[in-house]
Amino acid sequence: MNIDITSVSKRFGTFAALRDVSLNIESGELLALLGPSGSGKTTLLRIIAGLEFPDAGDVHFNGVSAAHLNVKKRHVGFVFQHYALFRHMTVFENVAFGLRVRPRKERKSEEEIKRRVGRLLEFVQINSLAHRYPDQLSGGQRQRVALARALAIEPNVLLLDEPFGALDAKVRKSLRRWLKALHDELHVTAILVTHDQDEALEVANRIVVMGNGRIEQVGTPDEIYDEPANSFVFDFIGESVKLPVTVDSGAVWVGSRQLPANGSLPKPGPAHLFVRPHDLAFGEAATAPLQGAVRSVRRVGAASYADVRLDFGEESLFVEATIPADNPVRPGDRVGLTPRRFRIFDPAGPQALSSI
Amino acid sequence: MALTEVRNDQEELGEYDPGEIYAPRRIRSRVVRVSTEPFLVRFAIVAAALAFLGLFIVLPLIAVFVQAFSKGFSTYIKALTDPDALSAIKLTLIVAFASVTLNLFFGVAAAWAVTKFRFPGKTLLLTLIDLPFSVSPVVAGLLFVLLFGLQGLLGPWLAEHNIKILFALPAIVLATMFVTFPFVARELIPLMQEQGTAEEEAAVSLGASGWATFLRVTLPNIKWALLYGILLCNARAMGEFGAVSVVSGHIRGETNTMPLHIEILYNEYQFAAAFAVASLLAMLALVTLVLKTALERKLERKSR
Repeated sequence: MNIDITSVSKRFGTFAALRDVSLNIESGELLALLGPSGSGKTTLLRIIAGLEFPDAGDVHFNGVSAAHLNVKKRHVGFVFQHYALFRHMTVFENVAFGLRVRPRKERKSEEEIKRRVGRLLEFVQINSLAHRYPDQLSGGQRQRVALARALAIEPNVLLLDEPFGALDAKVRKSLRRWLKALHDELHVTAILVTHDQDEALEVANRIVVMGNGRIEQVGTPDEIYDEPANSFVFDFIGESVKLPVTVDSGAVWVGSRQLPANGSLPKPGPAHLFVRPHDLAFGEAATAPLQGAVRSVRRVGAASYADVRLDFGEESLFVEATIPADNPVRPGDRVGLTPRRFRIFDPAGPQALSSI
Repeated sequence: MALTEVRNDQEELGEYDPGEIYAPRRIRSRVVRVSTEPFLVRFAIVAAALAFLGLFIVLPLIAVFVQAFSKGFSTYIKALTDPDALSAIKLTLIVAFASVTLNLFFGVAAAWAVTKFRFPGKTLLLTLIDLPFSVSPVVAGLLFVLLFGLQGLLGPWLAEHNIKILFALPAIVLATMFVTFPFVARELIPLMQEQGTAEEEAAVSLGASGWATFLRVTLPNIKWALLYGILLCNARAMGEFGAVSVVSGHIRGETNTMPLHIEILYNEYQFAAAFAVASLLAMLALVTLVLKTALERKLERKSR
């Protein structure tokens, strides 16, 4: 189902949760709403579900306004953050709930309900747990029940609020892949809310990055990662290093050294350079635009990182650079760093949250 | 479900921390084992506690029954089967039933409103729910006299239309309701607050109507706390004296509830009869206590 969100705003008291948000969701896609807490992503999801109503703007389902439809009428499958399973019902009854509460004339026979719930439990691979109660299940199993329960009503759209937030890292990873496979099989329109960029990058077809109640960028995972639209997105997605630079006469200056300009530059004046740690190349201190001393070396999984203290006059500025396997550096070494790929953003643009 | 069954299930799952469920039991056994005080001190403390309970609670309770049977079993039966006594018992049961039923309805509605919705005046409502606890029952009774009495606000209008509220059943029910209102709501609010609204939202998103959501999701989640509230509400409703005394008018065989009847008998020096009726109320207290303990166990197990 195609969902069209037009100029939606929502306030909670004095807090503006959403400010004039517009977004089109294609039928059958798996879209991730990604952002830090307080960015409005959950509010947007709840507005699509009909659990909240916007102060301004509208939501259209397949071109029909849903403004007057509450959550009961919208026919959405909502998977809640902490699953919200009915604690006094077995797994089977949880999944059957949506079928049992239908108006009498639309209700399926008991036989049919049994068959369908059985099929769903098989589909999410928990048919052996049908007679357990929610508090007898692990987090991953609860998640599967919640999903089966939402799918039971054959929803127009599947809405998932931080679906993997409460799970440990291993289970989270396997469930992510499983969800993606499940979506490929069902082709139901699905919207996922998450604050975890890895989750969004891995699972979604398209990502909506949100910050402070606004949409900062919409794009495929590759577009979001490789071509962040502004400093907020660059800073929020992936590891990033931020340096103060000056834009002057068509070039970027770090102190007295010039960087080869790439792409469009903001207006002359002070600006911020953003670069990924793995895009900082080690080289000779004499020729590279950035110089400094290696303070420490860390190994995280497969990659090693060096904390380099840059020579920036009085203030000490640390950057993190990925050490190439063939060029080991040790603490104390004088090194030069060249940003291979970087972006320059106007400091007046959307502010990044973490500015270390 | 048997406790051992639960344990087996959890062991199979492996991820569950059994300590969570068995914590109360573990604490209990620790209290027995870990005690550093010398025997004499422990003995003295326990003995003091037991003596206090015996002197002020058990002894009076026994005294009620001893006094009730002091003139023999036949006098006891006669006191209970006296027409006035029977009418008092009947009235008490009717009043208790009516006020508990109405408070069940209003209590659930109030708890539902307070815990599931955001609205202005919520704090005020919470304070109002507690009001009957802090107001003397006699004042509560007077409130109704001021409202429905002949000199009161609505009195003349009621008299004109020949509607009798004061010194009749309606006023007794109203006064009892006022005094017992907090019991159900107070029992439900903390539990419903803890449970949040997510399950209700899930039910509605699956297509359930408001009523179906209440019956199938909310009610099963609160049923033991609700029963507990009803039990306390009922015990208080049957025993209420102050508020009822003000509004009932003490008409023998008509508007006397059991506590009022006991007082009248006592004032007329019919001690055996007074204690006989009192023994009925005492028995009600004992039954309530047993049920309350059973329910508390159940609640403890549910809300782990």
